[in-house]
Amino acid sequence: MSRDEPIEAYMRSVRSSLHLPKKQRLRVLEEIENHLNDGAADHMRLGTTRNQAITLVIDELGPPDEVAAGFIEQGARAPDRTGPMRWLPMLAPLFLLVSALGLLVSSLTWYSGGLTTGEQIVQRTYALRALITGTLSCAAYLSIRRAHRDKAWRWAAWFCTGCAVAVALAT
Amino acid sequence: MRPDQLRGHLGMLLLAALASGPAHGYALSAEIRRRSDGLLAIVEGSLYPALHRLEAAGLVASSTETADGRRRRRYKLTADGKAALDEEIRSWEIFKGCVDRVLEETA
Repeated sequence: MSRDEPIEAYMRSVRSSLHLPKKQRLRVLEEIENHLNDGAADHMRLGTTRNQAITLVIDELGPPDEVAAGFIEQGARAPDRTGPMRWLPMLAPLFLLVSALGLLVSSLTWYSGGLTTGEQIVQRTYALRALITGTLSCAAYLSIRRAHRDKAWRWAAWFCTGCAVAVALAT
Repeated sequence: MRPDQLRGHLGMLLLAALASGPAHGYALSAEIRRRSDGLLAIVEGSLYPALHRLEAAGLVASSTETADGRRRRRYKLTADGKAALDEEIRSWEIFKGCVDRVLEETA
């Protein structure tokens, strides 16, 4: 869709005031441009010309620098999900899988029989580690979810994930 | 109504508008205007920062879709958002009742 000049000028002005990380900036610009086009189409359905509709929707949205300022203030308060925290939730299912595999291997070797005492001890250690990894993974997952809303839980999230990683690697 | 009277209630209104189903930003603004017979006009520049705040709090989730060659972001209420909305409604009813009683005795 070709842009109308007033929308183009408005977007240029917002872009120049919008000092945010690239991904966030692109998202904001896309939403604003869609809003302007949706609003203009809405006004046109009520009988205004395209130019009048664009003027109306730009007035409703507000001055570009004020719109940009609203996002910058929000960006400063938003929880940081762009760092390593964003990957942590993906680790929990991985460790759960590792623990499930550990339990499966332990069960198979248990039922295959013919284990020496030493092998039985090793097998039980594997099963215990798998259970601990599973429990820590669940704790990590829950604390990571909580940490996304409350930064005070970050340390719990990192601690549980670190322990889960350590036990999983040891397994 | 004055736009500043909406301050502090925008999140609740957006959650309420999203309770009808997923929608993109402009549609939410239009829905609030429609339900209030045009009396509640959001200062639209504050609409998206409010939506982003709700998303960061886990009360709404968003996804993108492509329609007519345009990528659009749609928002939907999460389970936490539904619970938050129920709580906001309860809290609002209490607040409204208190203000009504004070005003009744004034009249």
